[in-house]
Amino acid sequence: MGRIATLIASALAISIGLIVLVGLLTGSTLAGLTGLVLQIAVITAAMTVLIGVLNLLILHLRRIFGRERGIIYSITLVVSFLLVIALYVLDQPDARRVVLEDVAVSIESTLSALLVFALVYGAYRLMRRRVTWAAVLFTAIVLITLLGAVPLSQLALLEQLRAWILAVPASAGARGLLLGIALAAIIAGMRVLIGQERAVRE
Amino acid sequence: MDSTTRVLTILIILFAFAAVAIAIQFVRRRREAFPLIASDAYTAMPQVVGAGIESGRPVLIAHNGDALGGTNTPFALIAAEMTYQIAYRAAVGGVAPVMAISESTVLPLAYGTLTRAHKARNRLAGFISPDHVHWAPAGNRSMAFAALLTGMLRTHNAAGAVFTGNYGSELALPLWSATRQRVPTIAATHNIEGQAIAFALADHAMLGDEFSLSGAYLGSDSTALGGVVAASILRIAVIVGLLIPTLYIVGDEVTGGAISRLLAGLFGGGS
Repeated sequence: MGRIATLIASALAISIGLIVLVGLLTGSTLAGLTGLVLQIAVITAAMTVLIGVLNLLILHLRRIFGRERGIIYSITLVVSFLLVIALYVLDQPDARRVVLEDVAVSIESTLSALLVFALVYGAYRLMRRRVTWAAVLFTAIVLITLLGAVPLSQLALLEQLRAWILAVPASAGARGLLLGIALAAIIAGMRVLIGQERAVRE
Repeated sequence: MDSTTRVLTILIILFAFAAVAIAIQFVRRRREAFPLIASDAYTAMPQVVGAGIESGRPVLIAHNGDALGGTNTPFALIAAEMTYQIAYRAAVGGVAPVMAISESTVLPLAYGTLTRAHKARNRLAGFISPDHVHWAPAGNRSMAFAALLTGMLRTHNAAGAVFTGNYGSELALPLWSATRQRVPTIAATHNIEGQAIAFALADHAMLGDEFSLSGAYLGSDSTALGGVVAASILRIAVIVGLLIPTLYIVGDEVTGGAISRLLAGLFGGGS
């Protein structure tokens, strides 16, 4: 029974994948069918949000009632969840804005500011762990890029060097990495289409 | 999509299709003919899982950004394969990995992957629990997800952390937190900015397309290795495709247009 279910799942994944691919590439009569399949995908994605909300609530309520580690985070989450729902039901847009935007954005901005320290610590740790050519190059480029952004006439040379690094080696390296990443995505897609991806064949 | 782009896309897909299909058949027959280059991160991964088993602590797998059903679906599947390999190893010790995901569509995939890994080890009994997969609805707030991970590292007393998916500079936050808590980290993001952060802050960073090779490095599956061989073939094709026009332009400039005239003589050309 399990084997048959796997075969049906594989056949469905391969056929739907091929229909969408052909429909998108050729724009033929399959385009209508492609649109239908994509609509089903959107509805399924919406359903998973509901599943996600249930998962989240079950998880944190279990933690609260089980008095597990991190219970304070779970209480905060459940209270925030109920508060947002209550604000929607009571139609309080100003209060909703405070909870959803003002609080969240302020906290995120604070965390973003912390990133600078994390990066500086990263550069320090990289050199302390092991001094390699790659680590030295990385730190040197970081320093040149940071100093080159300082608007001082004495650092004009560094500014030019920074601009060259960003335009030539950094740009070339990034494009090379992007090509590799794109190839990885193509191969993963192809493996689905020939039924060799684990999520499809098991 | 204009007709030229469409034709080129079809050609690339057909070439990739042929490369994958043929490479998998070759690898199935002669697996030992395709040795893999040593990878620091993939060597460390079983060690991190092993340390978790010995200490009875879970490995945290945090997957950010890539959803099923969108253009990033292949990346979600790649991350699922890495999750499978970690969970398959962790299942021996009975401590399943804890997953944090930011996209709701990945929930079924995450549960399915963990279930398959435990089933393959005959350790499914008593495993299925909502505790193993945490959905953190961060939306486009990547910083919120990063902040959540710093908390999860401590709450779950993680033995190690693996970061997969689409992380930008916010990856620095959980990596920094993990370093302070002495939790070994492996970063496998496909975002270039995230890869740079990972290089500086993670214990083991996967650069370029290394994140997509978990099946080949950690699994015994020939099809995954076939995918690596196919990717190498495609990479060579891309290099050749870039070199030919470069050589043509440079050569034409050096020879004063001799190459253009030669090609026009061979294949004909408009007047």
